[in-house]
Formats: sequence, C-alpha cells, structure tokens
Amino acid sequence: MASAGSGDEKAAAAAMITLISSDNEKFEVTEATATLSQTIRHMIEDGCTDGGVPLPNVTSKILARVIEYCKKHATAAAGEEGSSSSFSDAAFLEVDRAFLEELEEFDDAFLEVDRATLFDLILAANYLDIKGLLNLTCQKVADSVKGKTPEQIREMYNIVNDLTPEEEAEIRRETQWAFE
Amino acid sequence: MAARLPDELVDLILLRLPPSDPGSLVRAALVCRTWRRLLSAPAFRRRFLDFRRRSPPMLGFLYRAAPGHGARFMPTPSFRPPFAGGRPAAWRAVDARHGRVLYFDGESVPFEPVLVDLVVSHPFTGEERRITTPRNFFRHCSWSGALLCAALGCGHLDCPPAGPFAVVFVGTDEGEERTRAYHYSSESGKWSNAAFIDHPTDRVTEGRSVLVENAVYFIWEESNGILQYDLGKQELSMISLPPVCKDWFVAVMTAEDGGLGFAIVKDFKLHMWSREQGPDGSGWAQRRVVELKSVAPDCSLSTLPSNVVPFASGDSVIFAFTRDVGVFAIDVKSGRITKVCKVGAVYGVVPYICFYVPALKAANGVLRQRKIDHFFQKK
Repeated sequence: MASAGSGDEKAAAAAMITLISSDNEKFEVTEATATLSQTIRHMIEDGCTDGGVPLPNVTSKILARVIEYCKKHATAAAGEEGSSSSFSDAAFLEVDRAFLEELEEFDDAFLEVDRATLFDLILAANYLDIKGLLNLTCQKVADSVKGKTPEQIREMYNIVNDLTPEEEAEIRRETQWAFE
Repeated sequence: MAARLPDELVDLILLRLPPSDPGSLVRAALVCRTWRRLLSAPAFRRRFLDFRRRSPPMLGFLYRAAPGHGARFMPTPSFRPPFAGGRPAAWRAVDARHGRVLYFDGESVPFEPVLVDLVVSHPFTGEERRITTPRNFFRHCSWSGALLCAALGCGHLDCPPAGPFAVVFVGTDEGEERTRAYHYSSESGKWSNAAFIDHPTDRVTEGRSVLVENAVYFIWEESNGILQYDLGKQELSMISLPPVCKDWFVAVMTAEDGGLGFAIVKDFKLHMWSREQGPDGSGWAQRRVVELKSVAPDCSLSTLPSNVVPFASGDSVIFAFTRDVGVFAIDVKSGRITKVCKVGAVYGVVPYICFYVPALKAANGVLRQRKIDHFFQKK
C-alpha cells in the first residue's frame, strides 16, 4: 500500500493535514475538516503545515472532540454549497430541514460533557478560531446559568464571591424585581 | 473553574445570556467582581444589543381578562418590570413600542361624551404622561393609535426611556367616509392638524399597528386594506390587500425581509405575506405557511379567525394568541411552536417587545461614589 497510487489518491493524500496535540498524538484530517479552524486555514495558506501542525494548547482528548465536531460540520457546509442551485425545490427544502435537525441533534449530544471538558472546548475553539464551536459552547454555559441564583452559579463554576456584602446589597436594592 | 477562562471568553458567555430574561444579567452581576465589571462596561450594553440585533424579545404582553377590566401586564416567566402593576378598570392598552405603553383612559358610556385621555407609561421607569386626545375625538366612530420613540437618530434597540416620543392617532368618521390622522409630539406637547383620506365604507380598527421604516400601518376592520401614515410627510394613503384576506382577521407585521407584511389564520394555518415591488408596481406575495394543528388539535381555530392575533418579533418569530388555548410563539424559520404561557380568556392583547438591559454600576464606581458621599457627609 506504500507504493505510489493513482493521481486521485495522490490528490486525496495531498488534502490531508496532520494535527499534533500537546501530548504528541497525531490526527489525520481532511483539509475541509481542518479549515473550519481559521487558525489552521491561515497556516495552510501560508504553507506551514508540512510535517504536521503542532497544537501545544490542545490535549489529545479535547482535539479528538474538536475534530469530531469539525468533521460533522464540514460535511454540512459541503452539503449547503452543493445544493444552493436548487433552493426553490420544495423536496430539497424538506431534505435540508431534516439535515439541519440532524445537525442540531448532533450538537446537543456533543455538548453532553462535564463542565471541565466544556471549558476546555471553549479554550480550544477560541485558540483554533472555530466560530461555530465557540458560539455553541459559550451558549451552553450561558444557558446553564439561566434561572439560577448567584449562589447557584458560583457553586456550579467554583467561583469565589469577592463582592462586599455592601456592594451586593446595593445591586439587590436597585434591581429587586430580578429576585422575585 | 471559571478562573481558567480569560475575561474575553467570560465576556462571550455573558453576551449570550437570554435577552428575554433581563434578570439573568442582574443575577450574573452578583456572582463576582469580574462578572460585574464585564456586565457593567458601557461597551457590553452595546454589544449585547448588537448580538441579538434582529430580534428584540417579547418581555410580556398587556391584556384584559374581560371587556371592561383594566389592562394587566402578563410578564414572561422570568421578568417583572417594576411599574407594570394592575391598571384602573377604565384603562386599556392601545399600543406598546420602544419600551413604552400607550393606554386609553376613558369610560365607554354610549352616547355620552366623557373626558378621555391617552396615557403614555414606561413599565421600567414609572414615567407617566397624560395627553389629551385630539380635538375631534368624539367624531370618530372608530380609531386606533400608535406610540413610538422620537429620539433623533435612535435605532430603536435601546431607546432612551426618558426621550421624546410621538403618538399617531387615526380615526374614521363613517358618516363622511373619511379617516383622519393626528400626530402628537411630546416635545411640542401638541397634536398636528389633521391629515385625511376619503375611502369607501370601512373603518380603522383598534389593534396592533406596525412601524416599517418611516411609516406606521393600521388595519381596516373589514380587511379591505391597510392604512399607511407617512411620519415624514404626515400623509395618509391606502394599500389594498389580496382578495384572500376578505372577512379574515388580518394582522399587519414586519415581513421577514424587514418590509411590510401581514398574516392571517385560515384553515388551521398561519399564512404570511410580504409586500413586493414588481414591474407593475407593488403587490403581495405569500411567503410562508405554518401549520397550527399541532398547537391545538382539539380546538376549532379555523372557525374563529379573530381568536388568533399574530405579530412579529424582530423578523424571525410570530406569536399567535388564541383565547381558549394559550399564548404561543412560532419560530418562523424552523416552524417550531412553543407555549409562552397559559392564560384563560384574554382581550385586547398588546405584546410588549423590547430589549431591556439593566443599567449596572461597576463595583468600584459604587465604592468610590460611596466614599465621596461619606466625605461630604463628614464635612
């Protein structure tokens, strides 16, 4: 299998990118998957991806999850492009809706992680500049504090309350309606 | 754990708190000093509104439990504006826009002229301005009113609560087959002279108006058309509706493209139309149909066209109110329907749609101010 393959295979091989996690694990991904990350897209454009892309801020555990997300969403992006010419077709709209629903289900399942992992995903999405993933993960945290009291939020995220009782009382007094 | 996220990322999270729950911003500001500092930054307020630019949330709605009852405010589950308590029985909500509510205060005694007023009120600040109705009020057998922010250059996402406002009053004199419009400015404290339009038998009806660009649109009672009031020219004109609307309750709304649109409920379906510019002038095009069967499978919605009051929030959501079933939000893009709240009979529904970002002071600022106050007290 190591022998030179056909032109097609070569083209396919050329479009593969190697990502290297902080713990030195290597991940082979297609260029389409990798370029969901603006950071990697710029590196490809600058031609500095030979020998793999080291990602010293991302562990293999988190990188595996990030790649899983990018693979799914790269397929979605390709699907959208290919079908834009037939947008008026009612049958297609049905397919489109079904696909979007599937993508939403994937995202929901993807976010079923503990809080430490969620924070690691936010850091990775920010570092790799993956807009969709950053939005998804930040929204998840925002949703998790919805309807919670300040005490509950602190407990959830191990945050130390450094406001003085006086400062706290001041806000509560001015915005009493928010606590009723 | 949160300490592991740099401020810029905590900021991204806070930006995504739901605008439909303004209390979540206040509670988040009480978590710690960093969160409070981020939330009280002046730039945060601007970015928070920008982030949701296209869809101000519905924070509640005004309604009457029965004809003759005073207007009440039904808040969404998470929100309580401080000055939206029960109103006297004579008050009914006419319109709400850009943060304020327009009430009509008057006894409806047939054939007996009584003193009536319009009241402009702000549920957050408690501001209340009483304005007299236009001179020829009792001439009009039916009328409607629209309230809007008149602050210069305001984009209407964060309207100044104490800024200037305008009220547009339209009334039909059926004997004359004429409808007049009067324009009130809070700055001059006066009503303009009447603009008028003559038309065949029909009358404006109290109900939801819509502001699109620089014009306010009102609906005719028998759905013969839409009345347009140009705010700049202060002129009235008529827009005809497609024949499909005849005899159905029509709600004017902002279309998905931001232009003028309307919705009707017919055969268990919500039909949405938008105005289009074609080679032969403007016309209407049906844009979307949403099935309502799943909302109320047991109710005969189709036989009660006036039971469903659709309106738009931003350009993506339609709310349909049904008197017997509850209040629903329909996401126009996904077609997903959610129940907003369950109330019994509701009359004269006026949705309250706007952004409310509580003004939060930075912890340090408060502390400093306290010290200054303390200093002056000592002296």
